[in-house]
Amino acid sequence: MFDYEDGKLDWLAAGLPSEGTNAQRPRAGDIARKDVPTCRLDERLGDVRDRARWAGWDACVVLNEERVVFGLLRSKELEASPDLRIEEAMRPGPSTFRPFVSIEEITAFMMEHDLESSPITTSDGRLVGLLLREDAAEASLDLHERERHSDGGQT
Amino acid sequence: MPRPIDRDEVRRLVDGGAQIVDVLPANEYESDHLPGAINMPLRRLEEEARSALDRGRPVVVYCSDSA
Amino acid sequence: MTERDVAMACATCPSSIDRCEFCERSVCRSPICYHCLAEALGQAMAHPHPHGG
Repeated sequence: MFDYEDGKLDWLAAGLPSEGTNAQRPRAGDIARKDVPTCRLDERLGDVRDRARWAGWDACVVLNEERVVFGLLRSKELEASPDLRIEEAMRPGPSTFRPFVSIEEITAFMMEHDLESSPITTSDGRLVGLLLREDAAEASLDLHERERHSDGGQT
Repeated sequence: MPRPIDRDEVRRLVDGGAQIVDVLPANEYESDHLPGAINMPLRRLEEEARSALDRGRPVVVYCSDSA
Repeated sequence: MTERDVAMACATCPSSIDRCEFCERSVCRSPICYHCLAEALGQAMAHPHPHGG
């Protein structure tokens, strides 16, 4: 017999699939954008900004070689002097959230706090994706609509 | 005494045919459980394990976390 | 005005905090501490990885 000591929370925090009623509902990791631009600490801000904007983004996540999140560049940080190194320009150690957080809960927080985006990471800090508030709100609304219809329109 | 294992070992064991048992209360199991896990809340584990589990296959048990 | 006067109070518990742990702002209409945020989002918070610099 074996004991998986770290348990279910460890499993979910790693973004691994699960079963059950919650598994049917969208979570932060499902909605987070996996194609968010990323960069390294030693890159030049101007190069990173050009790359991000060419890809249609106004944000970039700073990672190390193991995809661990070290920092975040939102539009304000990207506007700094282009010759800065990323390490100097970034917002270090941003608040990050686990993939299993329900989309309804995190949407409510993002609206309440007026936060445009949040990095979603595994329990060991590796990037899953960047959750955008507009995507979170849309997924939350879709969920409500689906649940409303599955109740037969009862409110 | 069960041997402690990590997530990677869980995956290897399950791929190899191990049975996986969630010892949390039924409502927590219903919300979320590992794929393929069966529910045996801790207080019923002893009485149900003999009938529900295959003695020829390894068994992995888990709960919420290590706390 | 002292630094103590500037610190916010968590909207959920009485803790004094320098910034909201969700939005990272030092001025927030519903500031929340790390502990309360972890409770609210089911241990969702990651500890920022220390940078070796």
